[in-house]
Order: sequence, then structure tokens, then C-alpha cells
Amino acid sequence: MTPGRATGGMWYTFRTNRVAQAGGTIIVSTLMAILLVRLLSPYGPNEKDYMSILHMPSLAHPFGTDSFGQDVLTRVVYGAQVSLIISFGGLILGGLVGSVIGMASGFWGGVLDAVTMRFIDLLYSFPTYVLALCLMLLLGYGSRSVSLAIALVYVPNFARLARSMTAATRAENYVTAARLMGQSPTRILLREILPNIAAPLLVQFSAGLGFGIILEAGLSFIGLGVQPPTPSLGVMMADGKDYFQKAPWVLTLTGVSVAWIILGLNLLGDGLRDALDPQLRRRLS
Amino acid sequence: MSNQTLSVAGSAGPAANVLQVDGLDLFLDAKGRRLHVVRSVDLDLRASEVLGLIGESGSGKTLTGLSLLRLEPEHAEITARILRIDGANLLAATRAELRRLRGRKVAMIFQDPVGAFNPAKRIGWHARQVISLRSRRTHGRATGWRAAALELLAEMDIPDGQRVLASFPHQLSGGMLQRVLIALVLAGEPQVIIADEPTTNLDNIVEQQILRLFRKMKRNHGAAFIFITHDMTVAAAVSDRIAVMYAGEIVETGPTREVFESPRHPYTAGLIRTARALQAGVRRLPEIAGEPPGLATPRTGCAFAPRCPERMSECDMGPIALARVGATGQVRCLLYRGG
Amino acid sequence: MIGSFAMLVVGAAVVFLLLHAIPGDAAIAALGDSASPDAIAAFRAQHHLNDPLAVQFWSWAQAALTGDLGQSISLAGGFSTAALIGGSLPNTLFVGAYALILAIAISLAGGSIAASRHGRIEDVLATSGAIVTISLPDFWLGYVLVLVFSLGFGWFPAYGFTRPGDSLAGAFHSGFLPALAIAVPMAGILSRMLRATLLETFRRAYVVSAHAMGFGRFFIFWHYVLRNALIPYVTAIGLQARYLLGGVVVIERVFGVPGVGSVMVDAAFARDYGVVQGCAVVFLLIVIATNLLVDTICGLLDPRRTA
Repeated sequence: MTPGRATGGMWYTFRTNRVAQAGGTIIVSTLMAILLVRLLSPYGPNEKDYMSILHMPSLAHPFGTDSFGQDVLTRVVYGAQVSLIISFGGLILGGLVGSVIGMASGFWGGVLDAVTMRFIDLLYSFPTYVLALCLMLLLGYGSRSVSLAIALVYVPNFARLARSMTAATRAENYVTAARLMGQSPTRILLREILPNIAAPLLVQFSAGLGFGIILEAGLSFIGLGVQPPTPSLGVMMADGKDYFQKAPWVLTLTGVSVAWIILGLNLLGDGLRDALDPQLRRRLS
Repeated sequence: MSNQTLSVAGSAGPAANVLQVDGLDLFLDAKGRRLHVVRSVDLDLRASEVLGLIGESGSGKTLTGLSLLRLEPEHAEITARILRIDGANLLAATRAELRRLRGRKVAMIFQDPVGAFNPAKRIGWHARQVISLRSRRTHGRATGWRAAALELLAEMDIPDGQRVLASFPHQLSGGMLQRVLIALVLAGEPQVIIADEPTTNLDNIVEQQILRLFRKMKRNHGAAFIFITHDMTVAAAVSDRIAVMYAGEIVETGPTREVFESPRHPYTAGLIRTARALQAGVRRLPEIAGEPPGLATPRTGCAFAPRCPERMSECDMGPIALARVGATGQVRCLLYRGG
Repeated sequence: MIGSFAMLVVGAAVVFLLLHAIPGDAAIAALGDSASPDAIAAFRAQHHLNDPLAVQFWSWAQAALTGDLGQSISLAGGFSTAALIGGSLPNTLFVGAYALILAIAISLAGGSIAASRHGRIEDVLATSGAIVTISLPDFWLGYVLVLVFSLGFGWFPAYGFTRPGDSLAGAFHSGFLPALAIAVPMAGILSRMLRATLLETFRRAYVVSAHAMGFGRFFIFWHYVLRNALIPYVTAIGLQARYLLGGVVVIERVFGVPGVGSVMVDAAFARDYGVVQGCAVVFLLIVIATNLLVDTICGLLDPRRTA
């Protein structure tokens, strides 16, 4: 049982798993759109055209225009980039911090484990937006703060997952062998345990990325997140809500785009989890 | 390819047979492959008769047992010329008809008694459901179940029936649960009981108790049994007749005494040799060399041939039919052809 | 129980510390930039803002235990924070519970159907539906629901909320769309989880045994399969509490429900940290209480524990 095989198997199953492929396709196409929008779109994200305010979707403007005459589709793509970066940054930070805490807790156990997990449980007991809100107050508004808020919300998720997986893996033979051979704990954690717990953490990451976008959108939506004029998806939805009755397409189509991206992320995560399952069962048997 | 369809129970007509199985095949669909797990099995059973079905794990004996209740797994397909319980055709039965037959005409006792009960409900709940079901079927309404339950438990030599009824399955020992399960099975007054390795998971003392119960059931309730086991001595203790299964096929049948004293099929002979040695406390047990064939390996001729001390070149040529031996026995071996 | 209480206390302390670490003077925020130094000093003295943090927290905690969460600094008329939160709490609880019940109803039905018709069209539809609903932002869904059912069909009000105290029927009516918006994504998660648990339970030995005893399919599903899948399901609900209440906060803004979430957001804009802190602690309390409830229910359901 060599560590690292779990990740190898994951690649193979990704190639054959249709769900993961569907998710991957959505994400890749989104990324392509983000990268190429400057080439593909005739409009800029902040290009106002007061002659075409609140136009319904048409060939010229597939998603219509907003109250400044800006092309919604273009702004959605730019906004997606902003939201994805924010969510990604937050998840990376939260994932790293949470995983480290969880791995340490699971590996050494004892009082450290008990106390740490209590704090993690406490963190998990705060409703997501409450936690985010408090942090926004502390740090001030803006993209960076939203990222940190997302990180904070996800620390307990990763910590719990990393801890339980580390505790389970710790009991395995090859870990015991490594410890008997006198390898330093850090080395064991990095070389023996981490490769084997990486996959579920990745699944969590993928799912969290989606919710991170929702969190950002929600915070910006109520005005406590990303501030305009930065076009994040949440800011655009906040804008769209102001004239929802007159021109519902702005908010609706932006939301559909958000849902589309998150669907891709969820499908990807699902596919990864399916890939994980037989291996998990094999490892635990 | 056809077998001489001789009734194991003798020349009595079908009317006397509580269970009739002719040419039962079971196929499993696994990973795109179709495995022929049970091959053309014939079984007949008369009332109050106990048939010991002997085979090692993988011989198909458990799946055969499940087929008799049509409880085969989801991806399995059953075909048979005849599959009847007390005249009722199991192959043509609808789901509702099968439900009515189960528990009433045919019942099953499982190897793992713990797995037979709903972990969230007390024993009393189980008893009540089974007894109400029977009452509703026979009398049309649910009558006092508690008295009936206590009576059955007492018959199974279970002390303190009240406490048992109030307990959850995880609170009782395996042996106790097995006895409760048997009591519940009897509550339905079935005509055919299929017992799949009922004593395998229990220690010897408890095993003897259960076997005593089986003999009592046979005497008092007149049920016909199929006692599935891998343990020859246990089979010998309760069975009237023996059927030996190997690699999905029946290789020998006959009255218990006859099969044990003069086994015909080399596989049966090997099993009995080992069983006797075990009983005599011999250190080094005689083995049958080799392994049973995998389910997926294609087969021509006798499945046992690779391991058979009496092997002849003709054994690998083609399928071997069952041949009559003695008064009521059968054996699938070229050594006895034309018998 | 003690653990939960300790968690509450520590949580309150953490929130307190966090908010007091905020740069910017509460006095200036309340009185405005042009307030005179005397006024600021008086304000600070009045609200004990010069005391060491630990002392401040202790006096806050003492007062909190007696239900006094301090005064709202920002609102005119100086509403007491406790009254503010207390008045809005029933609305939040109502919408939250409403959403939970809807989510449970939808997921029980959806998960059960998908599992029993495993592999068939109903299963495919239910599973696809679930994964789509999980991907929807709940506040956006709220707007779409308003678009269709309020502005479109006119069945429900688009905005505003009737307090349950004023009219229970009105609360149910005006609360339906907000509750549904929160419930749908949660139902998606729960039904997937239930489906997986049910499928696993179907394969258990006691299900085969129940069939052998001649019980009917619905009977077996209800008493054997669903009953034994309940504990993981209820546990999963407990884990969703933080997301449920998170959604409540935003939905309250979308639909104008005057709940604790609304109060908290308004206070955040006004830099009224005392109120924000109070709200945060109350939310924490709700989640902890929910977890206790879930644990109790699981304990009752588990035969191993009642024995």
C-alpha cells in the first residue's frame, strides 16, 4: 500500500467518470471565458452606454444591459473572475490552516486534540454569515476581507475532516512502521499521511469553492462584502435587485451564471468523491 | 445435458412432495460477466423430512436456499423447469403471492441471527408482527399475540420469556437470538424451513441445544427442512437424507446412513474422511488437494476432476449426468455410470 | 450539557474580544466626528469604555445572565439591546423552523423516492434536481420565487412579514417564500444524504430477513429501512444548522423579515457593536440549542442508548 496511489487512482477515475467530466467541462469553459473575455467581448466591464439602459436580452446583449447600459454578460464574466479569485483565496487559506490544525490534532491526540477540537466546534457553531459579518466589521469591507471571512468559515470543515482522517490513517501499519523507524513527525505527516488524506480534502475544497462564491455573493449582496465598482457577482446581484421588478433579467441571469459555476464545482466534487469511494473502501477493509 | 429426474424422496408422486425443484439454475451478473452459480439443481422434499445440503463456501448452497424463497439478490436470474412449494409455482408467482407464501409456506433461518432482527425494535415487536401476520392470514384478525409468543419461547427452552420479549436484539446473545428466530419462524407454521448454517456462528454447547430443538421441531410440527451446512457431522445429526453440492452442482444424494457409511462420489468420500479424522482427534487431517474451480472459469466435464484421485481421461470430456445408485441415491460420477 | 454551556461562554468571550478589537472609537461612531472631547469622554465613562477588557466582559456577562444585554448605542431612544433582539427573535425562529420543516418534508420524500426507485427515472430526476438545488444561492432563489409566485401568480406577498404574534395564518402565508428559499438548497443536501443512507440500509441482512418473514414492502421500508436510516439523517440535519441560520440572515434582508439577522445587519452598518455582539451570541445560542436537541433525539432513537 503505497501512499500517493490514492491520487494516481483519482486521475484515472476522473478520465472515466462522467460526472466529474461534466463538472470539469463546465469549470474549464468558465475559466476559458474568463481568460478570453477581453478578446471575445466587444464591451468593457465598466463601459457605460446611456443609450441602452436596461435593455432586455438580445443578440447584441445576450444577457441584456443594466441600469448604466453596461453589458451584463461581459460583467458576469469579469465578476466571475473576481468571485472565483476571492473564493479560491479564502478556501486555500482556510483549507491550509484547517488541515494543519486537524492533522496536528489527529496525530498527537490527547489534551491538545480535545481542546483544539472544542474551539473548532465553537467556530463551526456560528452561522456562516454571522461569522463572516463579525469578521467584516473587524477588518473592514472589501475583497480581501471577504476572502478571509470565507477562510474562517471553512477552517472548521477542513479541521474536522483532516483530524478524523489523520486519526484513522495513523493507525495504519505503514505509519507505525515509519514511527518505529524514527522518522520525525513532520516527515510522517507530510510523506505518509498527507498523500492519503489529500483526496477527501480536495473534495471538500471543491464543494467549499462553490459555497465560498455564495458567501461572497451574499455578503456583497447585503452591502457588507465587496464594494462597487469592483464587479463581483454579488455586487452585480445587489445592483440587479434594485430594479428587479422592472428588469428582472439582470439579477436572474447573474444568479443563473452563479448557479452554473457552482454546479460545475459540485459535479466535479461529486465525481472526485465517487472516484474516492472504492479506494476508501479498499483502504478501510 | 439432461438429468434423469428422479425424485430424491423416492418414487412417490409429486403430490407427496412439499418441495419440488427441478433443474434450478441461478446466474449472477457481476461486472458485465454472467456467472453460472447454481447449475441444474434438483431437490425434492417430503413432509417431516430433513434434507442436509452439504457444501463448502462458494458451492452455491446459500444461493440455492435463497432461491427457494425467491430472495435471490438483485442482479441474479433464476430459471428452473419446476420450482414449487406445496404445489405453488414460485417462478410464476407475483410479488404479492410471494409475500403470502413467505413465512407461511416457506421460511428461512439465517446464519447470522443478529442480522435477522430489526436493531431498532424489541423482540416483542418482532413476535407481535409475525404472529399477527399469521393470525390475520388464518383467522382474519390479530389475536392475543403475547400468550402465543411466550408459549413459543418456552417451547424453545428460552427461560424468562417476558424479559426476552422486552429486550432489544443487541442485548441478547447469539445463541439466544437464534432460538428466538427459530421460535418466530415456527410461529408462521411453515411447511418448508430452510436453515442456512444456523449453528455455524455458535459455540458447541449452544449448537447441541439448537440441534436438539431442530429434532423437536421435526417431531412436533411436521415441518420439512433443508439444513444447509458445511459441517458433515452436524448434517448427520439431524438429516434423513443428504445432498452434497460442489461448484454449483449436486454431486451425490442419498439416505444419511448410506452416504456416510458408503460414500460414492470421491468428493463426498474425501469430506467424510476429514470429518471422521476430526472426530477422532487426529492431528494431521487428510486434505483434498487443490481448490474448487472459480465461478468464472469455463468448465467441460466434471468440476471435481482436477482434484479427484479416481480421475479418468473421460472425466473431462463432457457434462456428467446423475446416475441412480442404491435404492434412492444418486451420484454424478462416471465411476457409477450405467448404475 | 456543561460542555455546551462552556462553549457558549467561550463563544461570547471570543465575540466580545473580536468586536472590541475593532479600530475606531465607539464613542465617535455614536456621537459623530464633530463631537466635543468632553462629550466623548462622558460617553466613554457612561459606557465603561475605559475599563480593562476583562472587566468590561465580566460586567457584560453578569448583566447578560439577567437578560440585560446593554443598550443599543446607535438607535434613537436607546432601545435596550435585549428588547431589540427579544422582539425580533420570534420571527427568526419562526422562519428558521418553517424552513427546517419544509426541508425535512421535501428531503424525506425526495430521498425515499430516489432510493426506492434506484436507477430508474424517478431516481435520476430526484438526484439531478438535488444537485442543481444545492448549487443555487438561497437569496437569489428567493427573488426567483418572488418573480414567479408573487409578481407572477400573486399567491404570496413579495415583501414584508406578518409576525406570528399578530396572525399565525398571516405568518405562515408571508413566511412561505422566504422559508422555501432557505429550505430548497438544504433539502437538496439532505435528500442526497438520505438516499445514500437508505441505499446502504437496503442491503442489510435484516431487510432480507424481513422479506423472508413475509412482511410487505412498504412495511419493511417504513419500519426497517427508514427507521434505521433516521439517526444518520437527524445527525446530518444538526450539521446543517450553521448553514440554515446563515441563510436566514440574508433571506431576512431579501424579504424584509424583521428578525435577528436584520437587526444584526442594520447594527453592523451603524457600527453598533454591542448589538452585533448580542445578536452573534444569540445565534450561537440557537445553534448550540439545536445541537443539543439533535443529540437528544438521536439518543432517543438509538436503542443502544435507551437500554
